[in-house]
Amino acid sequence: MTAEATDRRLRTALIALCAVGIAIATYLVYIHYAGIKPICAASGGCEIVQSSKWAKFVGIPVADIGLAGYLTIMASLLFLKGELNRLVPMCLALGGLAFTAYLKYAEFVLIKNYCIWCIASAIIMLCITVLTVWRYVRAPPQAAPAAAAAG
Amino acid sequence: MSTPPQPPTKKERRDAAREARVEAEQASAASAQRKRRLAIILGSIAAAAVIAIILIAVAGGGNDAASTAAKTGKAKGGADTAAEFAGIPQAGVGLGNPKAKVTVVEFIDAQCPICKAFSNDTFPTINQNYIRTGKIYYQFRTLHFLDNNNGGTDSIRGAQFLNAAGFQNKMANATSLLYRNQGTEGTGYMTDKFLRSIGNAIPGFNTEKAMVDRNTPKAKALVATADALGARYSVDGTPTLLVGPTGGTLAKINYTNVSSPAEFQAGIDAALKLNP
Repeated sequence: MTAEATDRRLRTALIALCAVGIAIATYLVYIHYAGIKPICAASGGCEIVQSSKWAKFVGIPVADIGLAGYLTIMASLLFLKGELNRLVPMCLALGGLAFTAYLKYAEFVLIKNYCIWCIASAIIMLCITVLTVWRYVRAPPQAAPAAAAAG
Repeated sequence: MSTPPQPPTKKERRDAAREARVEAEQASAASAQRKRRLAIILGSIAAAAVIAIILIAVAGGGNDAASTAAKTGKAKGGADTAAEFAGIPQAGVGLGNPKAKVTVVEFIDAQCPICKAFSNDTFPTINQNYIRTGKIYYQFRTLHFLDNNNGGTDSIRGAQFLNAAGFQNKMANATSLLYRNQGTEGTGYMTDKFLRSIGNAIPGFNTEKAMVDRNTPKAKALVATADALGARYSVDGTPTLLVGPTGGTLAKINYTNVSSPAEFQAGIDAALKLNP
């Protein structure tokens, strides 16, 4: 498989992962503003996590921040061109992963409860980060106009 | 008959040299690009790691009064609290004259910041004007609502310790000190270290006894009694103050500003008029 084909497949996978992340974040935003309990059969800790003080960051619900993050990564994958199409999603994903690490710390160490939706979102962000880094590393070499034109 | 290979012409040699140079330049450019990408990746990962570490440090770190108290082993305000309650009888959850005509019951949550505001801003006036003068009998009842909200155990741990302090007739001192050194809600600051620092700041208090007593059925029963009393009077937040005739039915004191002693004094004065 050529580097270009691998790049296209990775980009498609990343867009799909962002779509799943957007779906989860949208659900969490919805339950936050609707004031309803999240479906949380497996752990039972979703409501505790969602209603804790860690559910907001500088006054903004973290579900909103997550949704904005996934949308921004997807937009950068869809609309940016060339090197930026690989670099910007990677930087955004790394920032998202850093924020996710903070949220997981709050969830498991401070709140001592876990929410399956948050964990699912964290796994998706981790996958997005790994794939964006891999895509950036494996990106086909950029054309070197100076060298090609030299004669 | 084959012809011997002809040496490359001058043009062919020039073309080959140019091709080799272009290839070398492309290889060099690709190598530089790889190095640049690697540097960008490593820099981005390092920046992300720094961001995560800062966020976690801010989230879990504690530069508040509670962590200072836990670190030093002795909470601040011990002498002030001792002076605040000097000469006032204490027994169990009660403070003041148990034979007073009027009783005030305060429902508290150990990690409740509004309770802290009441304790710091309003309670001293009530203590000075009504408890110290023997006009009212005051009780502390410990609830633990906030654990349900933030999934922690700070409220229940604080409640059990305060009730255990009551076994040594120092519940008022422990309550006041706990609020003076209160940490951030939901951060798990109500550690054994922190509770010991509260006990260590109370003159004549046996901290280790309280640490054992807090887990006894007697201390837990007092928490359950507070829960039952709160349910009986439909207490749905803290602080809530009930006032009424000692041994009789009590009524809630309505207030809009927890830091306004006048609002609470009005409620107590009304009860004192009804129960002279």
